[in-house]
Order: sequence, then structure tokens, then C-alpha cells
Amino acid sequence: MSTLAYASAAELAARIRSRELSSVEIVEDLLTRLDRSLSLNAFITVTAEAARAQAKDADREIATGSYRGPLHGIPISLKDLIDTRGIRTTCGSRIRAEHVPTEDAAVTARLRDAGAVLLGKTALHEFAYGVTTNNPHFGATRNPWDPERIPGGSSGGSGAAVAAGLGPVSIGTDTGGSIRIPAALCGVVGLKPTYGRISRHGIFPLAWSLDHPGPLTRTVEDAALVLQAIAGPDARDAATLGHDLPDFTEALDHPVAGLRVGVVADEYHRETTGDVRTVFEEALRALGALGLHLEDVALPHAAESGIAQTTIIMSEAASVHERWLRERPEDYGAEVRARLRRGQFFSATQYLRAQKVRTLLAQEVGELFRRYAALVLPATPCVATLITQDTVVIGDHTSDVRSVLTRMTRFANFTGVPAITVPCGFGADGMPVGLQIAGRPWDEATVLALAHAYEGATPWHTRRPPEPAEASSAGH
Amino acid sequence: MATGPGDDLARMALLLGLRVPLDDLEQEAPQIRALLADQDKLQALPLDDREPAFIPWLPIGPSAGA
Repeated sequence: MSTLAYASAAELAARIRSRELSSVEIVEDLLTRLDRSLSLNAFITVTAEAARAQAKDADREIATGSYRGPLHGIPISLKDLIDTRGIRTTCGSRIRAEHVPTEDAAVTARLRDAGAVLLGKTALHEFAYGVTTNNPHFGATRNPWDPERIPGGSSGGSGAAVAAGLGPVSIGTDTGGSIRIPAALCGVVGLKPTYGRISRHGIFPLAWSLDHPGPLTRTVEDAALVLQAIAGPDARDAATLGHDLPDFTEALDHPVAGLRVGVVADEYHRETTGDVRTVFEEALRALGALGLHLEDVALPHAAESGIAQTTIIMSEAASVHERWLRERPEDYGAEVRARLRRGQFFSATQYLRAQKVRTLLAQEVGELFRRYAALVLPATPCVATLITQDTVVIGDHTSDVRSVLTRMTRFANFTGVPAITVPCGFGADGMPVGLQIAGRPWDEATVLALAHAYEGATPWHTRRPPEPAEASSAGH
Repeated sequence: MATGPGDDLARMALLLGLRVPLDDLEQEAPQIRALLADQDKLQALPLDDREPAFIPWLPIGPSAGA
């Protein structure tokens, strides 16, 4: 294993800035590693030549004293529904397989401005509409900790890439947990910021009112660095307007001792496998040792809000895909086509009722956040499932993988609050488990400070998966 | 008149202007019915005085609370 593979963006940045290491050296190292990791199927498109050229440009600029900041010369990847000018953006679909955008997404442009180097576009569940990344058009993406298991999704390629040392940073999107689920199942950090913190312009939607872009990284510090670079107002996404941009990296070291934190312990959110429960309880002991005041709380109307959120996702997704679903239904994979069709049967009244439930839940969660600085709960109820697995048994319930894996994460999309997952141990079969920390709207600073303090007190973020089997793979 | 599990949904699809093959509807019927039945569970919530959210901002900021 190369020594660069698992260096954080912050570590690489320090070495680039001091000119101890060049961006070209890092990019070459990662491209070699990426070539040996094709069996994971983490990327749909690798932009090797463009990455080499961008790295040379970065090194040249830095050599002349024009250092842009901590992402200058740092290799990153983007989920393949984020537009990249001149580089195909497939959405993991046959329908967009040859789509080449003429403009960068807002996130892409900000990363380019920060001097980041694009390694490639990562795999995803078709149109981000699912949590396994078992993609019928590009093949299944594999979890670096066990290639027979899913990496989670929909940003599964991003989770697998970051966990496997294929770049320190990837940008994903999260509509019901699609950043946090793969981050948790792959043992890395995943941050879904407040709705409106990062522009959605140029990102293919799954559900407009629930979609959140955000970073997957191996450290909390890197998540803060990336958030700083890509957050902020953008006139093309009205939700981003009118909010100040704090210094997220400065916030990492804010003291957390004495903060009141709610442990989400209602019946709905307590439904986890035994291994995840054991790991989570150990994480609570570590949080307690940091001086937090932990109290059990219940998220109100959890089951009903799940129904309402499903109604919103399915209705909005059906609207996004209305024309293609009518004109070329055969070009969708069977699973996503069926889900889109189901969404067409909701009435406008049902959709609006679901949005009223959202108002109710936002008010009730807002009341919780008057008493607590943050809420904690597991990121997923179970560890990564097998690629061939359709259902999960928890207690005496058997449920489909999608509804189980989104159980803990979707409330944060529904209410728009920021939430992060950090590695917190290993459950069944040595698979990673994530600790989720959610905060008040626009208060990523506290979420990051808590996550950083937890990370500093535990060893889990330093564990690495086995090296992947070297094999060629389709889809490149 | 109804002869198949997707017939009621076929009528609904027709009214909604959807073009869905009958075979697909029959296959999807249990899931669609379950989704629509779930809607009843939302009827009991206190929603009468509330407006739809659309954008999920909460009436609270970082400076409030503990």
C-alpha cells in the first residue's frame, strides 16, 4: 500500500504547500492504485489525463506562489450525477449514459476554483434512487471491507472510493441518507449539511425538496475543509441565499464538554441489530467521557414522517422522470422503473399533506433542538448487507433493505437539519458501523465539533479495509 | 366487472393519463395499494392549521437553546 493512499486532504495539503510533495506525485500514485482497485467498481469514469493536466497546473501555480488554499492540488471525485463540463455525467443510467454537460455544477465549479483535481466520477444507484448501488447498467459496486457486500448508496462509489484510499474526498448527494449510509457502511465520514448550505445547481435531482450535496471523507477535518470550499450562496439555488458562512475549520476545536445531547431512543429508532446496538452503546460511553450530558429523547411521529417522506420522494421523482418514463420506460432498470411508476399514483392532495407533515415534524424537532445542541443515533440499523440480499431481519421483523437502511437517516432530510456520520466501531462480520450526529439547522459548526471530538477520542477512523483483489472490471 | 388485481389501478392510470402496461400494473398492485393505504395513517395527525413546508427550514437558529 502506498503511503499516500490513506493520507487525509489536510495532511496532503500541508505537504503540497511546503512543496515536499507535488500534486502530480499524488495523482500518479492514486491513479495506479485506482487501476489496481477496479474490482470494486467504484468509478464510472476515470479522468486520468485531465487529472494529470490539472495536477501539473496546480503544481505550477503553487510554485509561483499562487497557493489557493487547502484543496489546491488535492484529488477528489464526484458522484456521477454532478455535472462536469466536457465530461460525461451518466446518473448511473442508460438514459444519460452519453450525456456530456456543457457547464459545471456549482459544486464542481467551486472545487475547480479551489484548485482541486478531479480523478473521476463515482458510481451510484441508478438516478440515485436506491441505497445498494447494485446498478443494472454499470454493475454492482463493492464494499472494500467485504466485496460480497454493498457499499450502501446511493453514493456507493463515493463511499467505496474514499474507504479504499482512492482519493481523500468525494462529493455525494443525500435525499434519504445517500451520503451517510455509504459512509457508515464503508467506515468513513459523511456529512449532509443543512438544506440550502450547498447549491444543488447542476446536480441531477432525485427529489428537489430533499436533495442535499455534501462530502465523504476519511476525517472530520477534511469534511470541514471541503464544506468550506463548496458551501455558500448561489443565486441559481434560492435555498442557499441569505445565510452567513461560518469558519467550519475553526469550529472543529470548539469545546463540547457540557453540551446537552439527545440520544434518540424512541421505539422506531431503537430497532437495530444487536451488534449495531452494542457498538452504539459503546460510542455513547465515549461521548459521555467527553463531558456531554446525554439524555434519551424521542423523535415524534417517526413512522408517520417516514410515510410522508416516502410520498414526497416518490412524487417528486415521478415528476422529474415524467417524460422519460412515458417515452422510454424500457431504458430504466426494473427496480427504479417500478419505483418511479408507483410514485405516479399519488395525488396532489396526498403530496401536499405529506409536506404539511413536514411542517409539523420540523416544528416538533425544532422544539427538541431548543433543549439539545445535537441528537445522536446509529447511522444505519445494521451493517452492510450482501449484494444478493433483498431483506433484513431485525427482531421479529423482516423488511426490505432500502427501508431498513434509510430508517435512521431520513428524518434529517425531512427536516433539513445537518447530520454527519463518523466511524464508531465494527459489527457483525467485521463490518463498519457509523455514529450519526444531527444538529440545529445551519449549525454544522457544532455537529463538526462533536464529531471531531469523538473522532479524536476513538481509533475507528484509523482502521483500513483489506487491499482489493486486482481484477479488471466492466464499466470503465 | 373487475377481473384482475390491477383493474382498479388500470382505471386509475387511465384517469391520470398514465401509460402503464397492464402486466406491470398487476405486478405493482400490492405495493401501490400498500403505499396508498399508508396515507390513511397521516389523517390522524394535527395538520389542519399547517401549511406545506416545501423547504424544510426550522423556526430555530444556532444561537437558541443550550
